[in-house]
Amino acid sequence: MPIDNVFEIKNLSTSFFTRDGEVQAVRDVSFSLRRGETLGIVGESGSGKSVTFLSALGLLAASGKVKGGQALFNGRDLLASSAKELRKVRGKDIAMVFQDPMSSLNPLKTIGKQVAEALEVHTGLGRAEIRRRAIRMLEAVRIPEAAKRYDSFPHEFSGGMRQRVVIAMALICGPSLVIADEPTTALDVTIQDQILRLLRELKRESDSSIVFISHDLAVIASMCERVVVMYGGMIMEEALIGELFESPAHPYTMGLLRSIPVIDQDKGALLEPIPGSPPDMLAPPPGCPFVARCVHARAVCAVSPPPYREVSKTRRSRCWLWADDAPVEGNVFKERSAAYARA
Amino acid sequence: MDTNGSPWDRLEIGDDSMETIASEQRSFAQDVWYRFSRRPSALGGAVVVVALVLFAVLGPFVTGHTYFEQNLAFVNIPPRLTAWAIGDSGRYAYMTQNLKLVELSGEGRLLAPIPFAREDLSRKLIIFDYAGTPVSIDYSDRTAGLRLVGPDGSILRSRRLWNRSYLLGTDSLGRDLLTRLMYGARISLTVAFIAAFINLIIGILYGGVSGYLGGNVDNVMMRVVDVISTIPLTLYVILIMVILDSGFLSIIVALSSVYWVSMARVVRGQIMALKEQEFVLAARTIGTSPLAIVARHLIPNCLGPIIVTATMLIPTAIFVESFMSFIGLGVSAPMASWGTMCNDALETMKSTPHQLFAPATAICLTMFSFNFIGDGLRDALDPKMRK
Amino acid sequence: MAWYVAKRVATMFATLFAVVLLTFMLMHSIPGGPFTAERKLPDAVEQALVKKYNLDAPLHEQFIDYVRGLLVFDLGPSFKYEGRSVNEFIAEGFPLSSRLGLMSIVFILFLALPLGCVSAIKSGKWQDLLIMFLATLGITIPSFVIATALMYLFSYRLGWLPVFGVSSVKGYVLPVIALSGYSLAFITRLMRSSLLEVMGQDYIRTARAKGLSETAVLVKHAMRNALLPVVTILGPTLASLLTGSFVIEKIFALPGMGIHFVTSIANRDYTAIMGITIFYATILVAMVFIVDIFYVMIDPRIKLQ
Repeated sequence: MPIDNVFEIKNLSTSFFTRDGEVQAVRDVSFSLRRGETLGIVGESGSGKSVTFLSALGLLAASGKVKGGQALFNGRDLLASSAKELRKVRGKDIAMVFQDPMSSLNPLKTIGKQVAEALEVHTGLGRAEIRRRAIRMLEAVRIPEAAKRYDSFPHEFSGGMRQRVVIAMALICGPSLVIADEPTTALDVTIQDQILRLLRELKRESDSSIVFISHDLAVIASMCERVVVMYGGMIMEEALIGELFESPAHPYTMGLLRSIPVIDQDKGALLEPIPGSPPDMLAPPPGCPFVARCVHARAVCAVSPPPYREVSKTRRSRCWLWADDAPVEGNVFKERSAAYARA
Repeated sequence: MDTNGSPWDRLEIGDDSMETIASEQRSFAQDVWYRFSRRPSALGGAVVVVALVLFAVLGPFVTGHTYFEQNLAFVNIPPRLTAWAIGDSGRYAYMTQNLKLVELSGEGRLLAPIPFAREDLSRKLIIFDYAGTPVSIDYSDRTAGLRLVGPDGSILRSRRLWNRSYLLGTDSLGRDLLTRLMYGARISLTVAFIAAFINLIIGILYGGVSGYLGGNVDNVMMRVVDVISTIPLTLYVILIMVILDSGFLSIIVALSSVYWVSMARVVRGQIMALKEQEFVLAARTIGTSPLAIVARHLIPNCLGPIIVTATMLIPTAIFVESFMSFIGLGVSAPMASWGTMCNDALETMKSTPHQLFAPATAICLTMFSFNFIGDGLRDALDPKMRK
Repeated sequence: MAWYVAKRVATMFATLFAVVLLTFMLMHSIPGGPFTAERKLPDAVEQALVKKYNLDAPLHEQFIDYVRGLLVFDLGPSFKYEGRSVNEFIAEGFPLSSRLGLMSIVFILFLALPLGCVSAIKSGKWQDLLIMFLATLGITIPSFVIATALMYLFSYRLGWLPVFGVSSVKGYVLPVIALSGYSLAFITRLMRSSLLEVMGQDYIRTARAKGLSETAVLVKHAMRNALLPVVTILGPTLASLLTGSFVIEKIFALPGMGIHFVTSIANRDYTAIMGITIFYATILVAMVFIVDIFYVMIDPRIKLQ
């Protein structure tokens, strides 16, 4: 079983040390990714989604420190690797697609050079071959007249085209794991759709595993097989995408689902925003991070952190209501399963 | 929370126990002061500036000297003296640079010149008459240098004393350096504050009009600023000073007529950015007059950068004033500014370095202080600009 | 690009014309004309002078005459020294001053850029604190204070370097250091903040994510981008070197243009003041032009405008 996991995060904790104090951005996060799988990570901004992966790849800003845990890639712990070993993995075996195509490209370097760069670093190929491959990659992400555009600068491209370049840059070495960090957030809706379609096509053509980070559950649903829900630096729930929409196993997920529109929704039904605001990560609440906004909160939730427990074979949830000694009466999850059991 | 209840009691949203407000609330001014005072350099700068103002305003009343009073008997006296004991009288003699003797009291006060008697060329002695006792400068020994010898030809005992009459010594005309330094501080600070203030007003008006009106007016006005700042502003100040002739007023006029361009740029940039914002549109929709929009909505909102730029104008003005004085375009004698004092001392730097170091240190200290205050204010007023 | 250059050349000449006009007006706005200060002159002499400098002609004719002279690089005769021309002053002083300026620019760039980089890379460590402390000193201490302090220490106290003159290479050491002080400190600070800013950009993270080493990230991605603001400051740097040269040449008694300028000021040699100012302005405008063209060449984003 472990060999099947291409990537696994175990008990990762990361903090940023600012002049105001320690910001606990990621707290005890664990999940795994199987070969060829597409995993979605969903959560609002500041929930620790990106930081989890930046930690694993050693790309944190200077103030960020990994406090503990493991990031296993093909069984090897990236956090225990030297900077040099990590560099050999980055860009070659694990690639990242970043959010903002405007700022992710160096404005003073040509598109072609930037796409080809990873090849120069990780392979011993000759110049002509590198150029040929880079052009082929640009064609693969549907850049028209790729050979001609090779020597263009980023400012000569539109936002959607730049995001294609960013994707090309990530895929050029044929990585076995691609981490796409909000790749469509900064784009117009129509362009978003084009990019998502492109990503799905590329995924079909390769056997890479993909982590798709987004705050948009609808985008995740269209891309991923499995999803991890993060809130306040912790994982709240992990499930197959269908299960998650069918029967969310965490109050936060329930809130999340209620706040997005659905096509066949009853016209009279209201979208409900989740009340309140995310916790202050400088001084996170001692219990569940979601307690202040949770309609199902119990006294225990404010005091001690909920256990992360398996709810079924494919899913886990971090909620006190799943605890063995949690009362069934008034318990949204246990009442539901009790009803299933009766039926 | 209720400690007696079960852990499974329901919590209500908005329960006080759930949410705490992380930081205490402060007013804007308190916030600015809090951030400013947390920087030791900024606070230190502010303390030094206050001390400097007191030094300039009150100082001349306590030194017992005036800035113009000359005492040709006591020229070029340093703050630290070599005192030669005259017998057991408890009195000392100090040898000036032009080989005269001055009587010193035991605590280092300059009393009176000791009258010259005659020069003994054969024994290489310059003989002075101290109340009947001959005291001589012995210049016979080249290697040992000049020494004072008593009537019997023995070398007098010597010790180092602080100059009590003139704490920082005197200049080449026998004027008290400390008093002149204080008057210099008055001139330099007055010039700096007035020039900064005038530049502030012109800059706000010019930049405000340019930024608010925008379009072609803005284009023309900013092109004028561009042309002006093509050549160093110091050059204009020099030209204007040449026309107006040196003097206190001229330097203020000269400084005020060019340095507003930087302020105008800052104000314009800020206004340009602000005027598109919703609150200005809102003000316009309800019919607020343009003047009121600029005065009540735009200027107050870009006060931070304006204050910082104005603070930074003060050291610039001090620097340019001393620069002008240094190349002979400053205030006219006997008035003193730090720049003219440096200039006066340059020639004799080798023999009387104290005359140069006192005003130079004063200039540096002031520049430091204002720069630190400016940096502190920048951080305090605009946390976004923090690095 | 050609359009851009043409536009810049046009602006350059317009600016120069404005500067000439401004200087001319300033110099001719002295109350009662430049001769009033010397009323002691006999009438006949004054008449002769007025005739010589064409001072009785209407102002606009004088200006046209002056501009006509400028077009053939004739800055006119000196006002104070019989038979000497302003061109001669410049010919005498400029070689030394330009040599001094050039040495300073080289000194500044060779020191400021590496120091700024070290400071940025070691941000917050002792190297950074030390460099920033020195830079703060350099920015706040006026050049004439630096110059005199250096002179007192190295020439008088230690006797390592000559006090005046540039008869040997040693003579350039102190003037160059004193002249460079401010700009050196300023560019060091600029380089530091610019590099820090660039290092925080997303594309640097992208480059790291590709597996580039820290050195490669710095050299291939950060350095060039961080240099852009430094290039734009070269024009103003030249201006500050230029005004700095007035006092530095005075202190070290170097027979350059600066000292000619200061002497002209002291002598109220109006034509010389005007001529040298215009000469300075021309050099500056030309340098700013070259820097702008250079900037366009290294920043691809500007080409399209």
